[in-house]
Amino acid sequence: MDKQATLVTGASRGIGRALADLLARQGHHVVGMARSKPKGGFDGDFYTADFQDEAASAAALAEIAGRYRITRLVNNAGISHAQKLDDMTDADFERVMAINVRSALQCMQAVLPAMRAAKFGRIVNVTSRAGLGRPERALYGMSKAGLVSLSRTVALEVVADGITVNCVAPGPIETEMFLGNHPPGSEKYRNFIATVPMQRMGHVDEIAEACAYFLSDKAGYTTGQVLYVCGGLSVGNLMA
Amino acid sequence: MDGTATLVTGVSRGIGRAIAERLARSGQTIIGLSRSKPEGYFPGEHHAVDLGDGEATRAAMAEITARHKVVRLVNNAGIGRMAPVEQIKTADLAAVLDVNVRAAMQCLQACLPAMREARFGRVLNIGSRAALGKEGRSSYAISKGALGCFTRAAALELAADGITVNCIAPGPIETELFTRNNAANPDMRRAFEARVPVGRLGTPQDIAAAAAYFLSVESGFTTGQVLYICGGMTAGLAPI
Repeated sequence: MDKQATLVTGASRGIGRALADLLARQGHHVVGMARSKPKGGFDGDFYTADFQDEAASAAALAEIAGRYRITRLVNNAGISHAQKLDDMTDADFERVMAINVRSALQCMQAVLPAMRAAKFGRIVNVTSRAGLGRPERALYGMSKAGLVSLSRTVALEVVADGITVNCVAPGPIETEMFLGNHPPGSEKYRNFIATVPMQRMGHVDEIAEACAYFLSDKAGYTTGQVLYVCGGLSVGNLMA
Repeated sequence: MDGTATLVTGVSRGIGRAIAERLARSGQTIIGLSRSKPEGYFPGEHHAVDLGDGEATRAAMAEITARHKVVRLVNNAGIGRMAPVEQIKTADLAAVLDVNVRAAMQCLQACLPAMREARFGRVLNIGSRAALGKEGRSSYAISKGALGCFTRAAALELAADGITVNCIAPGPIETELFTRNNAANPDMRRAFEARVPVGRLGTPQDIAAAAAYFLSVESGFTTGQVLYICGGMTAGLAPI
């Protein structure tokens, strides 16, 4: 197990898939994780695990950490659905926090020993512009804001070992998850795009490229930061 | 390469020089602007101009934009003028604002027609961690804070034309300017390094690697952002 590897969660589709593909093209040995297997081929190794299940996640991560030297980690797995505050249940809360936050913490804990031994590590947590506040996204926003706070704290705790921890916070990106919440052609979709200064949605590759910067050897002086890749949506306030 | 050019200000040394060299290696046609000529080989065309002189800056930009389609601009030139708040002379404050803010705006204005025509542009302003507050740096902090705000305002105005405007805010970077002010002797240097979570001063190349991302085609959904590259010094502080 000499070869260093890069673990990407939520790698079966959307942003995680695009990132896994990009990293494989750049020469990374990619290890993907997700609940379901990706459609078509995957350029790397793939493990299925449901992050809602803490024990199953721990088992899969133990196996991965035993088999690869993971020196780069991207916590990308996440769920989101539009929901009014009144309709939220405890079960919704548990589920969103388990997948979006607890699993990220578990992944970091699983790979930190290898990073510390290598005196090198790159962790990127994929958060969201919704962490700044967005109607009907209380749970999702809370989970992503929590992930940012986790990142800033861990960044300071692991910095002496050459490990950086940063966040990429996407705005509206053309993924199944986003389009499921905003069906193309719907009023919801049009209204939302109208609020984006760039007047368009982002592409998954645009998030992947930002992650690739933070994962690079040369990004070693950048840690504890959050980069919004959001078409300008986090800037100013165009929504009157 | 594709008939477009990249303009970098403050290229005679330090961060500007490193950015120009990094971008030249990736095939961009470089135009450098600074008061003094860079020593040794410079990988592009160089124009000597004092950016503190508004009329000279306007004339130089008119000449450059008549001959080149500048679709990428890095506003890096900057001056410091340290002084405790009681001792700041208004002339010094004006001089700092002239170079650090007014020149940046003039350069952007001059390049905008070509960017709008191309429906593509990348503008990168080099701010500073000092904008969050640093003793003895009022004038400098004011100017870099202003540059960050300019970044956000311009980003919103230009987003619909495919032009992104972002800011890199370096922390302590090993440049002549920094070393003279903060690390003139080994004791000062050790004391400063002890305050940086990463445990070292940054290098101009640390900034150049991030600059390459913000100037890339693939960063097109990232606009209005400020990325601190500060060895973790801002983790735990409120960002702007």
